[in-house]
Amino acid sequence: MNRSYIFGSLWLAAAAGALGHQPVMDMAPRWAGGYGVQLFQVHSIADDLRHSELTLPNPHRLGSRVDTTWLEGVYTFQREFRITAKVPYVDKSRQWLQDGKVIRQDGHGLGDIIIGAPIKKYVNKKGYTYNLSLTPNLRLPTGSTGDDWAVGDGSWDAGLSLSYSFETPKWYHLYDLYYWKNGSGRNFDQGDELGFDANIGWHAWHDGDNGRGLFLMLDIAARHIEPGKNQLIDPAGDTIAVGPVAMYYHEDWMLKFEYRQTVYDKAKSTRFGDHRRFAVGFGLTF
Amino acid sequence: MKKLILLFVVLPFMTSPLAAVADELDTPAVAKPGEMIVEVNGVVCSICAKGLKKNLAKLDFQSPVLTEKSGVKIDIRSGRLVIHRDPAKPIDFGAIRTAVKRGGYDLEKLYLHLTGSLEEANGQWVLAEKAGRHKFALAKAPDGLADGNAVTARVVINAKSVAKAKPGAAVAVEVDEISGTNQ
Repeated sequence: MNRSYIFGSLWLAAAAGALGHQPVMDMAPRWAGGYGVQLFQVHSIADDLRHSELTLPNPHRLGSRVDTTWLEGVYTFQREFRITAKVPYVDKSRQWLQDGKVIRQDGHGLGDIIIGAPIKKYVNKKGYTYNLSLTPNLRLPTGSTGDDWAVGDGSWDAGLSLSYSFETPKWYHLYDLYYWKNGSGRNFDQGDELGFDANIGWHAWHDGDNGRGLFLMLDIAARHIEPGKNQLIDPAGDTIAVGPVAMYYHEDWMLKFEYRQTVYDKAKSTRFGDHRRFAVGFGLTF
Repeated sequence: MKKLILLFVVLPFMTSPLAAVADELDTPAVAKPGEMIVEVNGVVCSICAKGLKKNLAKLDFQSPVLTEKSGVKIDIRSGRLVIHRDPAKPIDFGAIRTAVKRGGYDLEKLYLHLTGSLEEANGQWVLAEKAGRHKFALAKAPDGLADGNAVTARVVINAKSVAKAKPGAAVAVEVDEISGTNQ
């Protein structure tokens, strides 16, 4: 059986994968009994010092690096309801000043697993489709709390996401507003987070005969993080980051690349700034 | 915070006109002999429609030979999928609706190419398919044709008629094109 045409827009998976808190895939798999997996590697660095909207001198070359590998899965019971799981493995390090000395801290291991249960309302029309999603999320305290720079804070966290996506054969939009209520951790508390993500994409090339194509997308991510407690460096503040996403798909698989750069950053207290994030992902649906 | 809210409010309006420029989808579908074209609302990407294809491929009235050769074909610009049927096997319209629904979409229309003969009873015109037991009720009398004529026709069945279809009963169709053939 000719299997071309099967995969037209795994880029939708890419789009959703661009959202750190989001379940694995937005539009696919939307069929009853469908499932998918995705491996998503995220590399983030920040090597500026930021206080309010000012960039401070950084003679000690303070900075941070976080590498996270996400294994993500989704199962669709019916198009209105699916369940998702995201399992991170984290490897990170940072340099900071403490009592006038430069210290180095590391952390690595299994991170906090996120379980989500998207509830969707689809509207299908001639030439376009859109859906509204309400997604309750639960972040489990599976991350190690023992390292110098702990992978997790040991708290149970609850999230709620409200999203809207609209798609035609040429265009794709996804807007997502979410809130994470972070529980009390063992040694420190992370602040609550309000975020907004927008993905605006163009189906630049589609080879229907062979089931392959290319999507290009603009990714916009805005975050507001409340101050936490007992953190050496509190990420609290407001940030907006933007960047491109490119995704190639062919039949049963897709490969995507993302880059995101902070363009607005207002820190509540002194912390790292100038975040750059590069990600590569590989996904399959069945 | 204000910028965040402003972004959320403004961005969808800024970009929606781009997305609203959907393709023109009014090109009529032309089913060839042996084909059934399934028009589905919301099909705009092939990965999203993978489950739809899987479910349609399971329908048991398909022609195994033709299906093996060409599979279920999809055109994301028109939202149409082409499958190959065996006219001798009964079409299960309920199964088509279920397959589309389980695939994540909503059925809009079916397009069929039919070969059979006309029958007229009490003013109701019916096309009885030659190879199978299917009967299709025509909305009006075909011009220039008479009871008993052999015909070929291209017909459209809308979603409501599909929903009302019952096994053994004639299915209401709209005729796109009909012509007599020599027997």
